[in-house]
Amino acid sequence: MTAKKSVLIVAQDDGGRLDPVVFDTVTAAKRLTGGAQGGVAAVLTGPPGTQALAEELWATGVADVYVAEHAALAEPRADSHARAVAVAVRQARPSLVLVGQTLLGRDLAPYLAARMDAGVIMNATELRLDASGATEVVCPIYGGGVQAVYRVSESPPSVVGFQRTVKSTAERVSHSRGRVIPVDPGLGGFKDKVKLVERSARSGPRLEEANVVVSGGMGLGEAKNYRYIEELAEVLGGLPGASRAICDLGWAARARQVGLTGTRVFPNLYMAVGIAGASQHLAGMSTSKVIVAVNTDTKAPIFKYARYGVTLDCVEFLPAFIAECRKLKSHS
Amino acid sequence: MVKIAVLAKEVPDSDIVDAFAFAGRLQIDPATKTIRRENIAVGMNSYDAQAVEAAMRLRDAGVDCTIQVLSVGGIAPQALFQRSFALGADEGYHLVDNSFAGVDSMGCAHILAAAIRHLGGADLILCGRQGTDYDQGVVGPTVAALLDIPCVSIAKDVRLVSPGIARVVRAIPDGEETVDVELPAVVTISNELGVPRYPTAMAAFAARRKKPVTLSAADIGLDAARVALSGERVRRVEIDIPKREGTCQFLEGNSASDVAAKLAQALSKESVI
Repeated sequence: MTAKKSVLIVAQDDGGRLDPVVFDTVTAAKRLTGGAQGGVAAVLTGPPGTQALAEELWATGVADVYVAEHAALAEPRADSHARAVAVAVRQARPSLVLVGQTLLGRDLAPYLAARMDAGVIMNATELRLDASGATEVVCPIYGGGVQAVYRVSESPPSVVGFQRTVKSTAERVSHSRGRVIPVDPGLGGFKDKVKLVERSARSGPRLEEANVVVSGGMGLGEAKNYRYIEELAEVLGGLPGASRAICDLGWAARARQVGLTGTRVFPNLYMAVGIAGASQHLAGMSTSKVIVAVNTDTKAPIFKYARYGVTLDCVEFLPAFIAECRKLKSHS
Repeated sequence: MVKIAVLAKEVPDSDIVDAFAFAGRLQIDPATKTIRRENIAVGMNSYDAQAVEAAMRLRDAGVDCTIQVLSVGGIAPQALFQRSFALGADEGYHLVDNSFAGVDSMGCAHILAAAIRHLGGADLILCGRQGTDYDQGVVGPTVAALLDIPCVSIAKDVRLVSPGIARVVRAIPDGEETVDVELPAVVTISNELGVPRYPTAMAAFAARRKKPVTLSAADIGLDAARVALSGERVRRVEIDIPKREGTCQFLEGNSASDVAAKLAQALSKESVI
């Protein structure tokens, strides 16, 4: 168990650049391996041309990048990508495989583990070593209300799904060119049984990258009051969010949902308006820098996370606060 | 006849767990590294209930199908099966074995995949996107990988458009993705599917007479050592309930504008607006 640690990161692309979660996995992997030379490698899987992303990985100090390119890897499907990653794992022989939890990553990690006959654990927020030098993985469970620590075996390497809890930054630590190690993904006879019919285009700024998020919940009372949330978000140069409850009711669009099964956000300012703070919601926003809660129930869980609390009715408070913010913005 | 298998799990009621955790009443069992379940109601994982709903909608849409519900272990699994029968499930399979105690998601997937094989396979395997207890989301994709069939995750709509092809609408961060998947396949269901129906009182009453078939590891041809292996590879060594003291500064004033001004000032000072 005390053998040298090595981590293989499954690096995923996000429209021509690395997905931001890759930088979090690099940071976590470096910490685990103590920055040992060659301790962290990465694998890129995608259509021909994917290799270009290796430069972004070299810049983070990951020198060895395994690259599997194949036309069948153009679509983000777990089955094909897991096959390609499994080949790289056999070549790299890491003690741990780290997968950022993108839409693809969430399916890829268990697929890969099944394919390698290895263990798998998802939602990791931290990797660490125990006193004996074994690898431990910290994961929130029960929507975040409970925290569990798992000891994972290293042979075969366990597959760990890693989630974003902070806004990632791609820190350039290296200017040297690393290595590209080509991998044959072994997809010769592979036939994709999933065919794309239609996909909404990614448009506009993203909730997870916003510096300010203003979210509304059941405390808004009725659907039409969500417009205050949108207006305040706009005034503050941020984006509107929503609790799962009001998305289920159709007061806000699905894409606005902040939480465990929605988008996880980490803005400088998070305003929870009329949101009690179910763990489902807290899991998606509790690492925001400054949290403001507006709720008439002073005992609502959200106040345990908030720096500032307002116990007025949201529909009474929002117009007043929007006016104040407009004033402030016009002076600055 | 299309064979639909729904994979369902019994979990502690997540709202109660939430409320207990918040009130500081949630307790840990140090031996099993789980939360103590006394006084916490158990029921079908809500996402799995939506998978049952997805199966019922297929039947409503005129798909000639048999619906099986499979579940591993549990404290009071009869409730899960009775609800499924009351909603219209045709068959229930309860997987119980001493070797299944405390099994993790990977082990669970091995049990379910072996059971599906034992039952002659299924055309469409439906399950919740994740359990509300451990939030892993591992069972669906793993069962698919073990059976070497495709998996489409976080579905909000499932239809059979032509023989052997399911059209699935996924709730992805950007909105929606529609795919056609060749059957057999696993589809995991997300809450975007909508609120599941409740059984009628009459159906619930009638369902009380129906019992699931109990199957052991030996029955489904599964090596108990295989299940144990999963537990050894990923072992829960600690569990704890993070305490949250809370340092909220409540802003008060004579009017809403007064409070609004105070908040704007405070946030401005913090340089976040």
